[in-house]
Amino acid sequence: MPLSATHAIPDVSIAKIDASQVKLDVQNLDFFYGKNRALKSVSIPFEANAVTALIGPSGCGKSTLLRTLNRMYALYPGQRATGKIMLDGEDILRPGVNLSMLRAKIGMVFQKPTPFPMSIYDNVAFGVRLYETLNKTDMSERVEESLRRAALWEEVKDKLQTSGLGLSGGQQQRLCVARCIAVKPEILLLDEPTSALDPISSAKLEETVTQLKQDYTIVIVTHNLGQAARISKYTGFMYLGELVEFGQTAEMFTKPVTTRGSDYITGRFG
Amino acid sequence: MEHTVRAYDQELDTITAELARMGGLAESEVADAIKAIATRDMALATSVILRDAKLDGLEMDIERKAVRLIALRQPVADDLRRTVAAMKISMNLERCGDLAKNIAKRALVIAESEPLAPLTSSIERMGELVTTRLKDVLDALSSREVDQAIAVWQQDHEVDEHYDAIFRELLTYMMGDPRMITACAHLLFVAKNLERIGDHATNIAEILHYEITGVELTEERPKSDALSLQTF
Repeated sequence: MPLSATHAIPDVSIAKIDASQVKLDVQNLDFFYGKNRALKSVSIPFEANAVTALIGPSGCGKSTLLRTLNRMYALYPGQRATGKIMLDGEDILRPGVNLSMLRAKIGMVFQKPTPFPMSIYDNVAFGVRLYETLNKTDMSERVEESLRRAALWEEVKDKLQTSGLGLSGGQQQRLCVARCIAVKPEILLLDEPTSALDPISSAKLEETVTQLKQDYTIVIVTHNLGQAARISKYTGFMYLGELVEFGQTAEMFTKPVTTRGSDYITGRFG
Repeated sequence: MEHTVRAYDQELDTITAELARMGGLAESEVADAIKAIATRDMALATSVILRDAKLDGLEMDIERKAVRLIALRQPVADDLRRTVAAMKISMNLERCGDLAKNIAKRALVIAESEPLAPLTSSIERMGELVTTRLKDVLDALSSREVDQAIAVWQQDHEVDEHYDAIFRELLTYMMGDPRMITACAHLLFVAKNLERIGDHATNIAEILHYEITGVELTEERPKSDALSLQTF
């Protein structure tokens, strides 16, 4: 991008966020798949009650970063993370963290819808039953509330006892969001949640995310740059395991600071 | 660096090339309109009036292409700024053309009245100044020199001062000899049009500054360290 000589173009640019607003703070995070270093000293703050989008070409480490945030990687041997991930001032990477409680706090929705082979109602109630004992009325309320917040209630309220697998792809994905928020997490991790959806379902999910941000800290990995621009407040651009640029989305999409960030969002990469 | 989709680059380049053509046409229209006033050249004035349609056509064409590009490519960052800037600059150039055309029309009327040597020379000087501003900003547009755009932006007051001086001068002549009122009134409009062209040059400088830096030109000269970003 041609700038006048007075503007030096930085190689890396990470904006600061007011510390009191930060819900989840990643500090000098390295991640290894065996000997392969997939994240290189990544430091990124996630603001409370805001959507942060992670973008970057395939293999840049954005999904890896997402998977470290709820220690999903701990399910696989040979994968390890070093550095700190501070959640409300507590490092979730340290040994002895109750992973089950952690994942109740940090929910995740994946690229492909993953409804359980059970009724719509039970799909939503399933997670709740793991953590809480609710009576029937309370549980029904929780299921309804979750489905409403995931913008799915109107479409499924008359068939709650039918299988979740019978829903369309977009509905299944919103069912997964409902299942996720039913356990009342504080943070939502969305890994390319609309990549397998049609445009209308994508729009509905985007609307859902926009509604949810009032109560949740949301991190979304997406390949859809328009989506990142529309729904997020902050955007992080990653490349080859490195966080290259992080800042306000509005700034990023009108005047990115780094050349690599600019080249990627304008479609000039490679 | 080129876009992965090469047609995208071609589309952007076409818009930029058409904008450059518009700039050239607008500049020569303005220069010729002033010359037509100064030399009482009716043929030249007529040619300016006829040439303006081309500028209008180019503006519409740039708008169509930019809208199409926005719809199909969803440009962001510098591409978006470049596309939007092209639309806005072409509007300003089209207005410059309209104002030049208006000056040329008045040149036809003035050419039929008594010669007003001292008056037309003041207009000519102001015209030269405005033409230079327009030329400078168009040079900045093609060379993408931010500093040059800022220079044009900072000099706008000179054109305004010229306009005020001509206004007073013309009033004096009109009071001195009522037979000159018609011609002087036309020249007053010519001066006003030139002042407007100067404003358009300033607008273009502002748009260009935003296009290149992403920062708006405000009252004070912008500082490069104004961003609250920690960079290393």
